[in-house]
Amino acid sequence: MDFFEHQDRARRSTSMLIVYFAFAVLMVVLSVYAALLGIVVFASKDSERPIQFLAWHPQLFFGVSIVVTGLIALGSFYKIWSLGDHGENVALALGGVKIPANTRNLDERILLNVVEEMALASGTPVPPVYLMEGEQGINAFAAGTSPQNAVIGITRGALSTLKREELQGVIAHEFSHILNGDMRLNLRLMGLLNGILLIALIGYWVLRILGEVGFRSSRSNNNEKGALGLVAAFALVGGALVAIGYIGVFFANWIKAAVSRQREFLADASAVQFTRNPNGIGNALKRIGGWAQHSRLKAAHAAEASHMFFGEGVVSNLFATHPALPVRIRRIDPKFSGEFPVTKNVVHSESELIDPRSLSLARSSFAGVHQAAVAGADRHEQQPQEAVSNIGEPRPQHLVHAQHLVDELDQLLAEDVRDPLGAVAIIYAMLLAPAKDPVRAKQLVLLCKASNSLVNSEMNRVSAKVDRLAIEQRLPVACLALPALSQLSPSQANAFRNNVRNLIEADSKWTVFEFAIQRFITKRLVRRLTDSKTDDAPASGSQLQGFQTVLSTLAYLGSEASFVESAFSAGAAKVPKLSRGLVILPRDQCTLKTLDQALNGLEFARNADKRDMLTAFSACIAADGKVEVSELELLRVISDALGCPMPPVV
Amino acid sequence: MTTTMFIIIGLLVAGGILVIFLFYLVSIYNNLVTLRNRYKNGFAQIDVQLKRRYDLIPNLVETAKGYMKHEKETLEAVIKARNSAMSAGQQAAANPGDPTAMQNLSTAEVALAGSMTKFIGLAEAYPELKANENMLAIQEELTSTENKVSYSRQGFNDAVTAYNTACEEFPGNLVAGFGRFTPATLLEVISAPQEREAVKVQF
Repeated sequence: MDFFEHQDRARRSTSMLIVYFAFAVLMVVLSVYAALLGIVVFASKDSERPIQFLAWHPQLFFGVSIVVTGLIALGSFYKIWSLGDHGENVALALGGVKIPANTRNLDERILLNVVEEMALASGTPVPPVYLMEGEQGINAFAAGTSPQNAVIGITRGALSTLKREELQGVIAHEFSHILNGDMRLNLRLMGLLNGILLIALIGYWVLRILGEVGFRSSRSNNNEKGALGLVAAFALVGGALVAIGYIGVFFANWIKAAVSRQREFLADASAVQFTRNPNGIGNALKRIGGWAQHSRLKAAHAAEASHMFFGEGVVSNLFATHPALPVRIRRIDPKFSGEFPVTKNVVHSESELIDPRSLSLARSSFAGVHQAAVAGADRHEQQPQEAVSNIGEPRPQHLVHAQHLVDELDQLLAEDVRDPLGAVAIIYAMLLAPAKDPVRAKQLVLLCKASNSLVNSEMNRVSAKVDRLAIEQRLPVACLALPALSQLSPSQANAFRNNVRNLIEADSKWTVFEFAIQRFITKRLVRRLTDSKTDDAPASGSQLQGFQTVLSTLAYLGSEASFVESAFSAGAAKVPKLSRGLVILPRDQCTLKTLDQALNGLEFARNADKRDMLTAFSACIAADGKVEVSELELLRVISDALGCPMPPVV
Repeated sequence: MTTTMFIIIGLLVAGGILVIFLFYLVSIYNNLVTLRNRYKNGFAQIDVQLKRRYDLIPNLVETAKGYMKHEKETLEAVIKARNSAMSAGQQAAANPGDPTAMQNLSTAEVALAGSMTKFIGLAEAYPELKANENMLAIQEELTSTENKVSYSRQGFNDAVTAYNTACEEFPGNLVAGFGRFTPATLLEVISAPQEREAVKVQF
């Protein structure tokens, strides 16, 4: 099963969830109706016109359904709206505090390195990490609706008991949730649950208000019989609502648990596949079993978010959102005896900053891969297609590649790329034209006028280091700057955006690298900071036109003039369904700017179509038998724009 | 029948409006919490670089010691100023935005900047020290760290201002008093040389 199928399946689970949920709402409506009916009949028993007991009172039923569904919908929508798309809100509600990207605490630094490696390896933006300081249980979560706005949370307990490879296993598990589209489902679940809980809450409020009123009236000795009857009726209604609300919550929890458990197995399996290291996640699970606090959470909102966590956050057998620990461990390590060794706090050492496995592996394989890239065109012929099949399913070699990069960076730019000012300076320095180009002078004048003198002085300092980076290292390093950049204040971020635009437009044409920076940095940053897509140019034309534009542009960019048309038709031939009668656009309609607009329209295509389009694009690139790094980078940018994170080219 | 219907509909509408109003208040409250978190986060950013600087200064002094034998007092003054700035920094990190903590940090930082300026000025008189590679490297790193502190400080002050504005303006002020959102204080330090220049250019 590949990325696209996982996404589709997650979406199908969401629609199944709606069906279950509708059933739960119906149950709640019927129970409220029955309870009210009973109360009304009971209350009118002694009056002059007793109401007959009839099972069917359309008016009552109608009223009850409107009010109850209205309330549940209100509660759900409110919760979903207030959580927004952004995982940050969940992290904050659970008491998380963002770890500064430039932290110098060793435990936190190791964790952030692990997260950076995973993000680079899977081609997703580096997510911000939130630490739940007060939680001593071993646990972690991922929240958000897409890789673009995902956050990762982790407890202090996990950080102080897990070794590097175990942390890596846990983080890989969370990345699998991010890549498999589980997070949107999780957020929706939280919202729906809240809607049903609202019924119980209203009942509780009614009881409380009655308690106050009853207390006052009994003191003022004003015990009219009618009033007492009314109070009794309200008390019954309140009590019934509490009971029904909790019955509803019972069903909702049951649904939540059922949906959640399956996804946990999948995430565990993906973590093993991703890191090719069953010990990492296996031992992390064993440590939970051998730790006094297990994976338990104390936060007030932990229960409603329990399905998002790595381990069981709230003790409950009926509503376990996660399969039992021994079952999970045996799926990874069949020889597991069921005995948990006692977990102790670990003291991390400096050597854990980098993965020991990557050192030996990377030094040999990394160099090897690059030699092959230079020497063998035959290897490249296969690569674009491989890249498409790797979407959402990073392989161990991607992880090794990313680790190697982070490791190399540690010696050169690490302090700067993780600090807001340093990150801004690095991005500016990357966008400067080469030393003797007249454009560079123009760019420097622009910067002097527009930006803070602090930034300029830092940029002068880092530009020598940036110049030492290899071409293929630049984009990944820029991607590592994102967490630091998302800590800019709104006015700093605005200035950054304007300056980046000015630097890029200084020579009035876009290079592939500049295009990638616009997409990978500016756009992601805007989405992080504002939660909106306002920066996107409006999509032009239909999806089919978008596809045509992208394919034509790729053909022009990637091939020599004589080969352009055959590259286009090689791509089009892969997807006859989409490209019937499609012809290549004239050259002047195929710039990186039109590509940008076209991509904005393709983001919402169906998953199956996205896969077809990406297959066509990769075939178009490979058609002339020559694949350059910039072409593959462009393919990654396009894939990312379609919402399909593609691992880096190794 | 019609009057009962009217009463019921009236109650429902009133209830609906009440619920929406409650949600509105809650969303204001949540917004204030987010803004507060944002400025606290902003301080964490400053704190990291401040600590880095407090680590660098003793190294610098240690390197200079061998050359500047007759400036013992100045060196000691630097270390003393560094120590009091560090403890002020710790208190500020525990309580970002608190008026006294911010004021203390500001004062301590100004004192530290003063003693550092004196120290660097004196060091100019020692050509061998000026040429010492270690000294140059630490000084460069110190400047860069100071720049980073200043930049993060600008970000922090932006965040504090946004939070304070939200607390003071309607409708935030209704919720702010109720939910004990007290106004936060800006961090006013001028320590980095670049920043002083920047101020000159602007005015």
